[in-house]
Amino acid sequence: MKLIKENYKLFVLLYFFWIVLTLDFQLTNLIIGLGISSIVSAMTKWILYDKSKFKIDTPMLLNVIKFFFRLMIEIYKSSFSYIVRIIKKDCEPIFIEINLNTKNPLIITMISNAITLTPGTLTVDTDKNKLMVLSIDDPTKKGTDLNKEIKEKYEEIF
Amino acid sequence: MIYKGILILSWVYIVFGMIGIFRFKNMYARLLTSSKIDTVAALTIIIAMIIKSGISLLSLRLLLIMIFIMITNPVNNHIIARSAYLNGINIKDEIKK
Repeated sequence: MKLIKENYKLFVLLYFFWIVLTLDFQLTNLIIGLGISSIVSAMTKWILYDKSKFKIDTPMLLNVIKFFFRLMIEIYKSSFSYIVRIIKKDCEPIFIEINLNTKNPLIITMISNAITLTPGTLTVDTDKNKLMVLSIDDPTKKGTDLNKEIKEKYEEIF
Repeated sequence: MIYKGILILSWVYIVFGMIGIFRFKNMYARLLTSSKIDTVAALTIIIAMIIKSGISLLSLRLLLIMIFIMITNPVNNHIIARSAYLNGINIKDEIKK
């Protein structure tokens, strides 16, 4: 009980998700949801939560929504250009290193996730704030374009 | 009516993704193409379903599923590419194929 009291935010969020996804208001379902979300929030105590607070700085919700919409636009834009590449059979992938300015692990994860979601680029490895990206970019430019693009599109939001 | 058009668009993505997988011979290009199918096509299908169901609790659930897919889907492609990279599959040798 004490553990749940300490990280009640996660507990409330999990319970909300449970209710929305099941949409079943019978007593047994509500009790199962209560049990599972309390177990999960108790088990993540030392991973996500510390003694006093959330371990990771979370970005503002408005920025996350902005990021989501920009990501959707980027996914559809690059998917059409990728179809053209498939028809032309022009694909010479290269590895590109990208240096990000932030050191927040959550934002780095979100950006690398976004890179993998857009067709034509794929995050392979990370080393602190350096990302190794597999891309179908033109080899002669050596990835300066992609570096600039990602910084302007994604990192600027946060 | 709109949702039918969007569903057809998702089929176009799937068909071109499959053509791409057989058309490209090197491994990394195939990986990039396969990641396209299961992100773009899956998202497009879910968007079509959201438009079909309108403003309701079902579309809220679909939106949650879409966010879940967006968070978890890139992980498998990332792991395959990472294991290929760490096992020393050379990208220049692959391009020559």
